[in-house]
Amino acid sequence: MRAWRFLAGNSKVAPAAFVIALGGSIVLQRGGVANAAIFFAAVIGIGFVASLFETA
Amino acid sequence: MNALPVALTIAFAAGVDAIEATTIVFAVGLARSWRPALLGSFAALLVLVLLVAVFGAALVRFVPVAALELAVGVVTLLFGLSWLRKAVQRWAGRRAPADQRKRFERAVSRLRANAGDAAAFAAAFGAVLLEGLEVAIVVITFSVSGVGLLVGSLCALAGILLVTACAIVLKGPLTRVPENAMKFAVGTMLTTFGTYWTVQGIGGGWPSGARTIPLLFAWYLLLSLLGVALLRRRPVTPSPSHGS
Repeated sequence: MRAWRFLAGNSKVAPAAFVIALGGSIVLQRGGVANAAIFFAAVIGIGFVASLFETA
Repeated sequence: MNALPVALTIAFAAGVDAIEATTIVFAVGLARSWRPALLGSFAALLVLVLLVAVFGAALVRFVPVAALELAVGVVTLLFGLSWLRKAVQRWAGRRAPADQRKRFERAVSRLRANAGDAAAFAAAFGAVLLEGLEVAIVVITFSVSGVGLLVGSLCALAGILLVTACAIVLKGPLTRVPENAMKFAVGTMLTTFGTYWTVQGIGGGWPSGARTIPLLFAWYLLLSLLGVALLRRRPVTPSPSHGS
């Protein structure tokens, strides 16, 4: 848990977005969707912007 | 993949962490004496070099490439997002800036109250080890998927030496270095590479291969600037978290 916090900082949104992005990309890729990578970058980006408002 | 952006990211990341470490080492040297400050620093650097050598070599030798890419991507991405988030919040005035002068003065008064070379050694050792751990992780992750351990370590060393040389010339903590701008740049680069490697690690491909990296960088830069603008427009509410 401490190692996770060391990596992710105090954010809860950013790691949650990461899990959604990773899981979604794997599912899309296995389903034959070509642009799973774009989905990954999009979700990470949106999650990042949302995480800015967590403690702000 | 072009090794130059990877090498620059390692050097910049090491430089940013070296700013904080040199502040404490200088506090130890000026408040107590230079002997425990330098011994503590070199002992911590030795531990870090051993960590990089042992873990870096073990990872390359024993972990399959796909798993390694995924692990490297995840660690780099989470690290990058964390750095970038702090830098954007500081830039927007929503998080207290890292104040090296305050950190230096706090360390000096603590060291003056706590006599003894052992405490001074421990302070320098702890500061270099703690800040250096981040550098060690960046060196290991970037080296195994980019430039190799030796070149990666040399890039980190170059960043550390540059910051240390500046601190020696200025004879004190680096209070005027644009630390947040450096953190912003490194955070964007770490997030970019982390995104790229994570997708590679799960077996996915990017539409234009490694040429996607500048586009990813632009994407995160754009989002960060958007984040700064949105945060500045939002009314200020008291925040419980103001740390480094």
